[in-house]
Amino acid sequence: MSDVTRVLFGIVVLVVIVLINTVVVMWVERKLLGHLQSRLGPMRTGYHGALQPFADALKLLGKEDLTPAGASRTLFLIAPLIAFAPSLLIYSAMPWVEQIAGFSFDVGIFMLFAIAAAFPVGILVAGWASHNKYSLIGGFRSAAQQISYEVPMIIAAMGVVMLAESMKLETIVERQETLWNIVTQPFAFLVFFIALLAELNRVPFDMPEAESELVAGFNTEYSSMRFALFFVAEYMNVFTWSLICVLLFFGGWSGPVLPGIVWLLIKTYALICVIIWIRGTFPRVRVDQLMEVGWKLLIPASLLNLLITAAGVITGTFGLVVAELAAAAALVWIVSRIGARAGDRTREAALAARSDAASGGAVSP
Amino acid sequence: MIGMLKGMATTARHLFMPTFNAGYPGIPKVLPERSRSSFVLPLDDDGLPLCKSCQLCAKSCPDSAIIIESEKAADGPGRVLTRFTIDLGLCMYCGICVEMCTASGLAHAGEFENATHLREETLLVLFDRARDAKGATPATGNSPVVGEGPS
Amino acid sequence: MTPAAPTVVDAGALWGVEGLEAHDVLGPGGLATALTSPERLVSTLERLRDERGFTHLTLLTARECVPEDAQETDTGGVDLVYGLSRHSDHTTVIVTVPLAEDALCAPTISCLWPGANPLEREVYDLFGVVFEGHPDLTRIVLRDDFVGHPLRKSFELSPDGVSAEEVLAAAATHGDILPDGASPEGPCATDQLSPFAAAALPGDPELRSERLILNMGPQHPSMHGVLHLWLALDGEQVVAAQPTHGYLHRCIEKLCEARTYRACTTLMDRCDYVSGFQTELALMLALEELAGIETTPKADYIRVLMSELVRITSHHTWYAAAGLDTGALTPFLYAFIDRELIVDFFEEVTGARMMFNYLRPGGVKDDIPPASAARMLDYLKGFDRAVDEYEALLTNNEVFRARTRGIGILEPRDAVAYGVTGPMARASGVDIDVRRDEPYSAYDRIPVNVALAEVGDTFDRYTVRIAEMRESARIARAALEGMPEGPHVAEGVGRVIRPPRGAAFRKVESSRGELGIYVVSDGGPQPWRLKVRSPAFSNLHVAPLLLEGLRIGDVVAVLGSVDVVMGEIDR
Repeated sequence: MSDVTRVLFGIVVLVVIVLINTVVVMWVERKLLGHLQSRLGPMRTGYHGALQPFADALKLLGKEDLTPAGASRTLFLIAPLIAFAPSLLIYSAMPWVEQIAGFSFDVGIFMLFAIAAAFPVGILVAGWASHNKYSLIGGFRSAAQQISYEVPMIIAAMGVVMLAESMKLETIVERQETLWNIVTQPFAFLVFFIALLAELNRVPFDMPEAESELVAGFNTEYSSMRFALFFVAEYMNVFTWSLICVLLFFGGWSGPVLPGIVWLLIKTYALICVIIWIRGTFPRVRVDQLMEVGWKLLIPASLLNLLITAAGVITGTFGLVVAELAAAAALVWIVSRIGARAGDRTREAALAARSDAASGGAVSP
Repeated sequence: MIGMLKGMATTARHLFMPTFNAGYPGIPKVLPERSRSSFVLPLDDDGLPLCKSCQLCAKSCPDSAIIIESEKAADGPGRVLTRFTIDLGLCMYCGICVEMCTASGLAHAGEFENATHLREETLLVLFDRARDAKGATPATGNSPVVGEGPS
Repeated sequence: MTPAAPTVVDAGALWGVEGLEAHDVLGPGGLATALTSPERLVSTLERLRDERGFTHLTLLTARECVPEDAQETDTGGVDLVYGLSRHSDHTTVIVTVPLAEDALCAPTISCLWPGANPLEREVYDLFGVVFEGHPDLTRIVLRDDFVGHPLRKSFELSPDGVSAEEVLAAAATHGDILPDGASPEGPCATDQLSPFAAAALPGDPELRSERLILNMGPQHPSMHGVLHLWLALDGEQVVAAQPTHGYLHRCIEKLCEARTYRACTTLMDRCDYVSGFQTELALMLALEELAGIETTPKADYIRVLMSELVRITSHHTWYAAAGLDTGALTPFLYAFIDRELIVDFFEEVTGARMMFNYLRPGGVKDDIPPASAARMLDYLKGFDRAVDEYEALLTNNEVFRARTRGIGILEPRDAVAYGVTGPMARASGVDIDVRRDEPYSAYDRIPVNVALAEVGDTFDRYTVRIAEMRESARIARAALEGMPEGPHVAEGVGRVIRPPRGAAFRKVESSRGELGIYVVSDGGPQPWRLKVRSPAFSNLHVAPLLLEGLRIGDVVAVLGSVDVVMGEIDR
């Protein structure tokens, strides 16, 4: 087999595997969310609705592909592709590319973030080209959010890189065979995970498509397969980033007895279930609070993590773990206080203004 | 943070509880006795409607959905019912007609799947002497005779 | 029991105000009212408010004058009806202002009560009364190009004086033709900017920015019903907001004028379709007062039970929406599971799940089946646990607190000025509750603890409603356990009721606030005029005040906490 055919074959296999996993993620989300909410979820297509994603795809294929009047037609049409392409392309930087293409990136992490950074472009274009105010606001929100959260995400990942002394994903995973990074880097994981939720537009950071505010955000005007592309890209991203998170913090494919690929999938789906669980529980934050958490909290926190990790590399693992845990606890505490504090101040100010107005606190009408 | 964890514990508990929703079309819904649903004209021992065509229900209907046609009885006083229709497209199931009837001549049927494809099909013909005389079973009302609409 | 005597204000308090004469407009059995003239209207109401403490504008409507003779077609004009309440002793005074047919205008009182602004627009819309000095006198429930004023008795759908072509032509030019051919009236803000437009238009001159006008609703996944909100945005920030409604206007008040009282009951369910019993109850109280019908003790208890259960289901719906509006999916499902159980009970008792048509003059339609009552009692005993679960999902969730605390603060003085009532007013610390203040049905026998909060932000409105759910369950349980034996409906009430000429105004505490029904009878089997005093209407129109300066994400959260039901607002 020539190199070219081997690579092509590898790409096809990879794409098929990724798409199958995306479909599974969709099904898991529906069923898990359903049961979290005391309902069944899809039940009629296949065993417990297992074929529901395919039924949806068929349905979407049969829908009319609409372009709104006044939309910037070309951009409107290619925006889903711009969003979809990096979601798939990102797999070219994954560790198993070596088995397929015979080469791998020494700066794998760098490649991951570089490719992922293209995703919001698609959303921004979609929002701008739709000629719809909701789409526009959704697109802007998305751009602001993804740019804000990429920074702490990358810096948090740098802690892992420092421990592994490499940006190559294979090396990072191999280094975790004795001790997962989640133990030595809990603070970095926390920052990374919060940023990941924002990066994926997942609850509680699903601002770009906040359906209660923006109808459907950037994809309000999309129908048919173009909508399906956004939809698939989003779920593909959920899978991809859970996978990356597992590679960076949960030891990748390392694990006893079972083959590596099984461990990898088990860990990834466990993380996906947590993300869905969060969706089933949490309200959405407001857009300014989102920015506040990103810029005022996560970026300093990720920088602090660099410092702690640097010190930990010198002092040894035990000191690192203690310092990381302390920092993580502090972050949790601050995160849970940050939003309510501003509100409490407003409340107190309102009460004070009211008592100043001479009538006293409780008004007797 | 405690609040968030409490919420997550709540949803996790529901994950392992039995689900609430029932498979409706598979498991048919049985309406309680008093449910105001589609209509039926109860029949007497001779198989004739109890309805005395007094028009009380038609007059009390807030939506004027009931149309009763009758003719003078050939023998004796009173009138004989020839046709009784309720336009379910107008009906809002307030039940005033059934409540008003002094002769128990109109009742709810316990049937609620009244959706039709066409607006004309919403006309519920409870009794039509011309039709029922042709040997077809008199409208018991349990299957609303509303054209070919799905039941 | 005997129906409560009409709340008559004492003569000294009433007559001490210059320009007001005591007047019993519609004969015995009716509501004692006072009379004033358009010229002295503003000063009279101002003195009533400032000197006599009648701070709460509870009713502002109009009615066609009732002709002395039933055959008389020329009614001779319109009476404006103002209802003012005093919270110190819970009295209500009705001030009537007769307007002659050729001078259908009166000064606006929106300077005294800002909450009168939308109410006057409604009167203008439906009766054609022009309020001089009104800042934005436009139609509110009907289309802008509607012709005529439909609550006038002279209104016909195809009026004789105006041909169909003329109607169409007028609609095309947005003109306005009165059925009697009078000249198009009104300072209908065509040449001046409405307050919203004035606030919305200018951008920042230095940045050369523009405001983004966002039409939120009526087709929007989280708008409550078919509410349409104009938002002027500066980025994500709301500069000005104005609710537009009328998309669900079904002419219920007009329909009632052509239906018997019994048929009106079923229309009342369709006003506030989330808590239908309460509107039905208000109508029954007013009708029983007019017609002098007594209810049985058991019926009183059943009415209280149903009102409280329907309040719980209404708050379930609110809680579900409150979760969705802040982006949480699960509260919706949990609340609707519990709501379903109560709605099943409603179906077993009344025969319908939402459109009950259950209350009858003198009582209720059917007794409660013992098996259903036992099941409901069991459910209510475990109800607190269900509410604990709701609270576990939202109350202490840091994200939810961050989203709701300090957001959309309603000042108590604004609450009073805008006629805000119910949980929304109580969250601002305004201690009013019709159940406790003017007990009706069996509320005089079952004590009500009123939940209050202090600040009046979205979070306080949330906590007040959660507390009300618990309290309602307690009252419902007390009503079930203490239900006396006896008939469920008074005997001897005829099928068709013809109350004597007169008027009655009775209030109940609905899930959204003070819901009143004002009925005028001309002695016939149909109401001459039936007005629903809608609490959500007043609560909604205070929203622009709350929304200013907030972000888009907060808009839905705040509107969710206002808990509007468009069916009741548009009627």
